[in-house]
Amino acid sequence: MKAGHFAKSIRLENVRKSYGSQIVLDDLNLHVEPGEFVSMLGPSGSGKTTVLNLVAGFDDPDAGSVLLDGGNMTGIAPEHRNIGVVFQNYSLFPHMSVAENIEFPLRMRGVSKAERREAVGKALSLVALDGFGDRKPEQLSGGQQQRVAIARAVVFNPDVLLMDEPLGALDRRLRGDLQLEIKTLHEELGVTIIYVTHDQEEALSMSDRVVVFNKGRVEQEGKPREVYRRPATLFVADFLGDSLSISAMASGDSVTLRELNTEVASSGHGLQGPVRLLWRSDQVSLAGANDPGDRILTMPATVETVAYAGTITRMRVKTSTGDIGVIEAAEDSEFAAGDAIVLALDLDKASLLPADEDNR
Amino acid sequence: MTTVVRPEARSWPVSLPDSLGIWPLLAALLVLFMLPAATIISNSVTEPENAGLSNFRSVLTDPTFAIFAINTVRTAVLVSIVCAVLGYVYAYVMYRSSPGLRAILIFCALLPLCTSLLVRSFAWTVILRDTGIVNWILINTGVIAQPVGMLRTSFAVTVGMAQILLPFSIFPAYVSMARFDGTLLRASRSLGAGPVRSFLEVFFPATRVGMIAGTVLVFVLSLGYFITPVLLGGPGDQPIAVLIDAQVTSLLDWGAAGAMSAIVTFFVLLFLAIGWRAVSRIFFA
Amino acid sequence: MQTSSTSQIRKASGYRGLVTSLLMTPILIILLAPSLIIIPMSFTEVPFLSWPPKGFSAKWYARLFDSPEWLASLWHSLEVALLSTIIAVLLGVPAGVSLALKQWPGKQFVLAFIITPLVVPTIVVGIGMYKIYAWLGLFDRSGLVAAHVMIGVPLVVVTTMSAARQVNPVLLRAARSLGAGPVSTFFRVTLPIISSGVLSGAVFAFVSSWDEVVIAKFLSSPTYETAPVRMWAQITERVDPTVAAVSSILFTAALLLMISLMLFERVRR
Repeated sequence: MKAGHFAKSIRLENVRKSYGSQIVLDDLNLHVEPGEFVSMLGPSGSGKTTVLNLVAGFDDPDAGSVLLDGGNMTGIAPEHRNIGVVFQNYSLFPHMSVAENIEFPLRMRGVSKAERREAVGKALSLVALDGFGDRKPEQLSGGQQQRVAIARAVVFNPDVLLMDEPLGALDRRLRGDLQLEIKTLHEELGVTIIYVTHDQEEALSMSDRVVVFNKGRVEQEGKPREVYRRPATLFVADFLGDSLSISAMASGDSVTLRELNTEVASSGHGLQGPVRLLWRSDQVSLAGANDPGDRILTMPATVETVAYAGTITRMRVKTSTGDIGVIEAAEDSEFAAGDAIVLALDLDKASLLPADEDNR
Repeated sequence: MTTVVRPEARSWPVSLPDSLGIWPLLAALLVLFMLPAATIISNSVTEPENAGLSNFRSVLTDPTFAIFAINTVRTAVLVSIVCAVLGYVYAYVMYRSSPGLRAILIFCALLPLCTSLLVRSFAWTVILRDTGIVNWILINTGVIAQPVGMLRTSFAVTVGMAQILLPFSIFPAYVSMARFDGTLLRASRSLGAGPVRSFLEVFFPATRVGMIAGTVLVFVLSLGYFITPVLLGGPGDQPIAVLIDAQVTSLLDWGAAGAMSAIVTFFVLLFLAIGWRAVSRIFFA
Repeated sequence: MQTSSTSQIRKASGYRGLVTSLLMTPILIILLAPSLIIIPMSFTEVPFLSWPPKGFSAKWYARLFDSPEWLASLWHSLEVALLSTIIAVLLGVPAGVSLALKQWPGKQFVLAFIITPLVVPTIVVGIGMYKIYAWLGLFDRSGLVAAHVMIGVPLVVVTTMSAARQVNPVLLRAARSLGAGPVSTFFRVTLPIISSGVLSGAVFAFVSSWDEVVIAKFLSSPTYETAPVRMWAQITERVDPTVAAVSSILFTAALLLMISLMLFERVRR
């Protein structure tokens, strides 16, 4: 990550926002470094798009403040913020050509015609659409339209680039291509990017940092691997992928699996009472003939459903403790519903989470 | 990308009130429309001075007013029924047609709007009178020997007004059909309903709102019609609008005119309020 | 099974074609006959309207164009229609956009209020304006224009609203984020997108003024008469084919306007 010379930081301090009686953001704090690529991930209605609207200036917070490089933005109209926004889809002006769309922000800034033409050309080649300037948006495919929207949002060197599920309307393959392009663009321009998505893979693969939203609050933030491997809550664990978790009881420094009467030493978790031990589905293996070792917990389970997923086979299993989870098996494994298996769970790889009833 | 031109950093918000766009119109409507309409209606209690409810009393007990009121309602009901049925059929045919034919049908439905209401009513007199086209055709084809009197009858008024108001039935019905999700009909067929059952139990209930909206408009507009009944109707077809006109132009009785205007306007607004849900669903949804 | 059901459908569609034409023919005749009948009548040779038209002559048109009264009334109609359309657009477009795209309380109420001039009987409106406009200082042209703005503006508002509803609000946000203020956003984004709706509203407003007789009857004076008012006087007194000639001109003008609107729409697409 290299911050471009015009990249700026964004800070949200104690932001509250509600629409009518519905609280959308509840005392939110968030910081984005200059040049950082931060993804905001969460289910719809979790408040991530509201954050984006507050930063863009489409809305003002009820309380708290939005700071751009330390300067308070409250009350400043969107057109005076110099922030680029890429929307989910259909945000190109239908009555303007591609070139006219891209030069729109420059015209609004009084840039001379010659400079505009040069900047449009550069922006078009940045998104690999050289020669498309005279087309109308309706003559472009969905992916091309989004490329134009991105070119339009960066052509005026915005302080921050906001992207609101920019690939949400595209099919899977195209989405992959454009993810890479956006990442490259970020590296080339060094612009600060806040990227809203509900696609966990997209968030994990693209960002420097992931912020997971739930019910108007930040549930967890951190580097993609950190958030994926060490989810702080069951909500984050569920939202970011498949896993298997079993209930346990924590007291002091020890965690006990009641059903198995097994005590698992673990320290520094700071949790008391009911907890869950969680493994990502790729961290669960099937117990083989060789000795499991003392940090491996073996647990009988029943296969409930089997779903073939190309590179792997995904199975929903029910453990002898009655917990249900999803594990991965080799692509060529031939299990069927009802098969009895034995799981090998590596205690050193387990995440320890509060057993929050709210999130289950 | 070397151009770094920042927008002028103004710290004060340039936010105009969202309702700004309607204020000039509301002001104009208030002075140029509401003031005249309200004046006429208030004349019912102010002309002559201290009239109180006497104008309403005399109008409502006047047998002439009763006859004209019955004429008005009868015509409005007939026209509404004719327009509801013909408009729905026309819209349905439009809905089922190929795009080319549909464009022609839309054009045919809009064409009458190019001709002034006055001209169309006048044209009907040429078509329907004893020496008119219909009688000429019927006599020349040997169907009848003597011309049939059609002009100055309720028939002429109904046909003349239905022709003028038909577009108000066709377009709302068509709008509701165009919004109808065609896969529902296939779903209904796959669930065992035949074409007629599917139409009656799926299509019609879903598109009824357009028919209702159109009929409300036609009925409400019929209540105030003036030109067509005068030109095409007989003495037994003259509506309240004619009576109001007479109060003002020949009797100079502004009090009675005000009371009659108040009564008609009240019913127009009442029926519009009753049908407003359907109308707003078609036109503003 | 499949072939039999297919043939049943075919048979049904054959019947449907027959039923359709049986139903549609009378409706189409009712819709179109009055508009189409006037033009042949206007070319008759005899000084009264009869069917079938006798001979062919343009003398009623000649008479029309020789009559300063008729020419003045046509000019007045055009003047009133153009002015009232322009004002209706200026008042109605911002209102329609605000109603369709902005959030504020009481919209349904305001909307119902804007629509009332369309439904309150014209006779009531006409006598009210007759009484009040003179007092407001609105006579002849100014009075007629004001009155026709009132009946034209609801049409502009309705068509503008339905066009503006098609505008994706995201476009307006995009424009703001790209540096356009509310005013530039309106002129550079909203207005170009809704232009065809505005245009058809303007055509409807124009035609409604061009046609209007009941209100105009009360507001015009012997020195300032519109064509429909003059026609109304002629029709109720004595009918000669000059009226048919005027009607044909009014019809052709409105028809050309509507066809050019439709062609314009096609070209835009």
